[in-house]
Amino acid sequence: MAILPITKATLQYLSFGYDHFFPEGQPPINLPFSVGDFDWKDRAAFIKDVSDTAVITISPEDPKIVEKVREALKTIAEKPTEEAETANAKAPTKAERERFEAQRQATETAHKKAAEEAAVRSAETKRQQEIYSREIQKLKEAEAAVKNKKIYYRVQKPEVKEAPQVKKLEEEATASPKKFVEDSATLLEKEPVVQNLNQGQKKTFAGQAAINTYDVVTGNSPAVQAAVISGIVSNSEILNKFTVDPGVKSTLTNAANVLIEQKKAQFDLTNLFVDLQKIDGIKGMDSININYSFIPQPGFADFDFGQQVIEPRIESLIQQGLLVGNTPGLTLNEIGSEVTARSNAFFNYRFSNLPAANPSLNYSPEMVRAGLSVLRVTTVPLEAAEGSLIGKLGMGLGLGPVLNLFQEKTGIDFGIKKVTEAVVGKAVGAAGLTATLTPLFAWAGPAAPFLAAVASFIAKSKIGKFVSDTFSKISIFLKKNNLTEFAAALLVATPFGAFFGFPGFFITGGLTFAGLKAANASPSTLANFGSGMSSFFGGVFGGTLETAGMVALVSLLSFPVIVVLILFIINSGAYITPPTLQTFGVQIHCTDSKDPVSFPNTTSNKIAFRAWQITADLYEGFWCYWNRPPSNNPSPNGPARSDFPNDVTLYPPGYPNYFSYEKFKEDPNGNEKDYQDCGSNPCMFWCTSLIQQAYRENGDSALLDTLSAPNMDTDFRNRTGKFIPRASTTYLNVVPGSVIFFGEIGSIYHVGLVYSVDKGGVHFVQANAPTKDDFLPFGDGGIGLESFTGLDIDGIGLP
Amino acid sequence: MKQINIRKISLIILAFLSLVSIVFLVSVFTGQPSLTVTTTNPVNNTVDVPQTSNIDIVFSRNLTQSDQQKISVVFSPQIDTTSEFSGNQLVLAPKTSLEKGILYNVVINSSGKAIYSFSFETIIFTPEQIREEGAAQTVNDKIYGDAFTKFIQGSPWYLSIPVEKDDYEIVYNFDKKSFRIQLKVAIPSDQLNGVIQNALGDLKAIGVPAPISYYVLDINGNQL
Repeated sequence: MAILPITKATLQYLSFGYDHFFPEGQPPINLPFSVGDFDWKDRAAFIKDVSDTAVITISPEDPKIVEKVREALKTIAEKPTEEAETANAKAPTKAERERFEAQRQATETAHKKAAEEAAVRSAETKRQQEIYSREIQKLKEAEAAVKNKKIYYRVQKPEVKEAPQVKKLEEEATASPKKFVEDSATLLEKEPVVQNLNQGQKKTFAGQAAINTYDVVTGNSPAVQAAVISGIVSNSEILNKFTVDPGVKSTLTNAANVLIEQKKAQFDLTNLFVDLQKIDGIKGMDSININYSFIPQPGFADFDFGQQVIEPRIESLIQQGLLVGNTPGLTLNEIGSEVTARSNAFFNYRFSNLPAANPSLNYSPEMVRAGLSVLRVTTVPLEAAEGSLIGKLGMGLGLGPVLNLFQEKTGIDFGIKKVTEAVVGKAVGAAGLTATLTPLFAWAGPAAPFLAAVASFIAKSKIGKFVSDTFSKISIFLKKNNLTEFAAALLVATPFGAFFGFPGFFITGGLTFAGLKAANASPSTLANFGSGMSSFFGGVFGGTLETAGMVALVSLLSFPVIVVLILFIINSGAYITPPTLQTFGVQIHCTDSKDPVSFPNTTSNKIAFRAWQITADLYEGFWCYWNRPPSNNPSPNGPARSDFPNDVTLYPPGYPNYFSYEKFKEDPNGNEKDYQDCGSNPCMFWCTSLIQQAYRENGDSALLDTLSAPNMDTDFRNRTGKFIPRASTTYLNVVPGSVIFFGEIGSIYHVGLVYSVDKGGVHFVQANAPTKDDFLPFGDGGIGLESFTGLDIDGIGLP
Repeated sequence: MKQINIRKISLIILAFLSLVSIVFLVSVFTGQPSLTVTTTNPVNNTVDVPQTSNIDIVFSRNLTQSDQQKISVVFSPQIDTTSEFSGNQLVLAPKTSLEKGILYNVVINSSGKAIYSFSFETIIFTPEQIREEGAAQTVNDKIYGDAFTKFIQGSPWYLSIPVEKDDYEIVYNFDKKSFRIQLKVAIPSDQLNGVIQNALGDLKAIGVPAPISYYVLDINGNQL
């Protein structure tokens, strides 16, 4: 048995010997073969063994292999080349090997933990949906118990002098409810308040606001609905009219409380777009008086518990079940996308069920435009991707409880607050995850929770990093004392509270900190103290001396951070790490010709070679991304199409044309959600399509049949030696033809294909992205790929 | 008597054989032209054929009842189909969906003799996959694209990175928030400053504003 100590020279010889058997970009000569304890099935396995092991043994039992190694070594030894020198320089040092190993172990631990969490989550999801089913059953029983029982109510609201244009809105809403809501949604979508949001969010928020504007215009304000329901469930005499059964009463009360919060959230959200008070004089639940009667009276409307509370509650439970079941992971994006999807689906349903038009009345979209322009409010644009926005939206749809669960599980702040810790504890103790079904959240004020939640999100995700970069001394002090988040969470709530004099804002600060503490689970004395404080604040006595005193203390401590936050907000668009600077003209542009790949096609790797060709042949399609193959390629089941007659295929063979011209004609720049239903043919050439096409044309049949980047990531992870976590990537183990996975495990967004590798970084090609190719650097020493977008890199899949 | 009977029988057989021969000759010289296949759908070598596709075969002429009885189609791997003739066309409808990602070979026989063969490959992805995974990937790609666009709007110079020169390469180190000037050759110390100035000039040329944060690594990766 020969023992080869790991030296630079040995590594060099082994590396070249290995290249002899496994020529880059070509099929291996001998596969698989084993050497001693090692099973070098591919380059990655070889490199790993060399990196991880101090000594390599070559077994004499396999004379052929030994002979081949000798041959290779002899060749190298006889012809020392510049390449050999380079290889020598490439050999990892002991420190690097130790670093690789530490990174590998850390990654393995992280993956194990992620897998365990996924299993727990799966079990929880199942249990959760069972709870929803039971809850729906209970609600149906309650509905049966109160069937045909009614009480009557009359709303007394403030007088309002309507502008003529606003008054006309009522006529238009009556003339054609459907058109009124659709046109309102279109107009509201253009309001400045949503301009920072993505298309999906814009549509959803505007849809919610349009529906509620219609409700208010037609005298059915969500604030009124909340007030009516609140008055009923808070009055035992009235509630007894419906039922004396304590169980049914409890069910009704719980359902009512959720609906009240839902209506309040809708009201708040709509007021971000339009000043509802100008329509009906109502600025909130407090400005409404309700008179109730057990018998019908003139001017009184009837209240039906089943229709007005239980059925909406059942609908929201169904939506929650869908949310829990369909949310692929627990990142903000994943939850947010699903909430937006659920909301849009629900609004579409609502829109489609509104009466189309009253033939005897004329409808004028211009009058709607005029009315809404009088009502518009000037609001600071909402920031995209904030958890609290999703929370607000979800609340309006009745998803508050499940978002509360997500908030607890993930630490993402959806701005949903529990009343007190004690009550939460009781609920959790009673039924595990019952918190999601129990209306234990409450908004602490009309606007403060929303704003404070935004602040807390900023604090949690960005402020820490910013502070440390900009005001390191302050940061060190705060971090040392576990105060960073605490201070950041309160610093916004406190000025609001001080300014408006609402103790509720102080409550929000305390609760926000509780949420942050849960998110980071960092034990500390101050943190525990803060938690206790938040419970206290969350109770009835938010305005006591102790509360105010503590807020003042923390405010003092956090004062320097206020300056930082202000600076941060001013610079909030500049949190991406490279210097942000004058714009020299963004080079992303739309064109009807195909841009070339920015480097020539010189690789010997067949997969990378073909991927370059396919990418070079792409045209710009949806959103000006490179996702349109030439239309003279054959369609999936027939001859070529001629939708774009000037198209050419520069690099045959063509392949089935993955592009929906019909969708493209409808809207080439629409909301990505609009492309969810392309029928059985693909809409566009996805990033994953490029990988599939390039791999399959080169005979790689091991690739999983999937168009989903997360599934592709899992596929490579499941294949032994085919996945390298980002931290373990080096210029030695990443090879042309590899797949780059952008995102995090379980939430991979995008894939690219490595074209070339050197110590500085990798060039890659990609489809369905703003550019055809790009470059990612390695860290110093050619170790660890770095991400440039703020979207992490999960790792590399080897061909 | 017996001889007469034998003669009669022989004559009858002879007459019959003659008749058969005449019929054969007439059919050869005056019958239908030979049957060929002009096209198929899917055409030969089509890939990504949907799993629910029918197989259409178009012949060179209208098919008689006799033709229809003689035609057989063999699939490999085997599939059960229903068949329907119409004019010069035969439509074969699989009784169950075709398997995904399978190469099907089809041989068309007439009277047991192969007159045409072609092959096609079914789609790798099911319609459900395309609908569901494609929809999800559309959203995910858009997330990436939006983030990338935002990034480039803030740092348009990144599209010109890396800067490759004979004696150095410049990349951006995101962790260090600094440009890395990696020397490719050994530079004498008295020339180093000039090389660095050249590198900084390159960065300015691609739009990186001053002050530029950078560091230099020598050919061995040691920071200078």
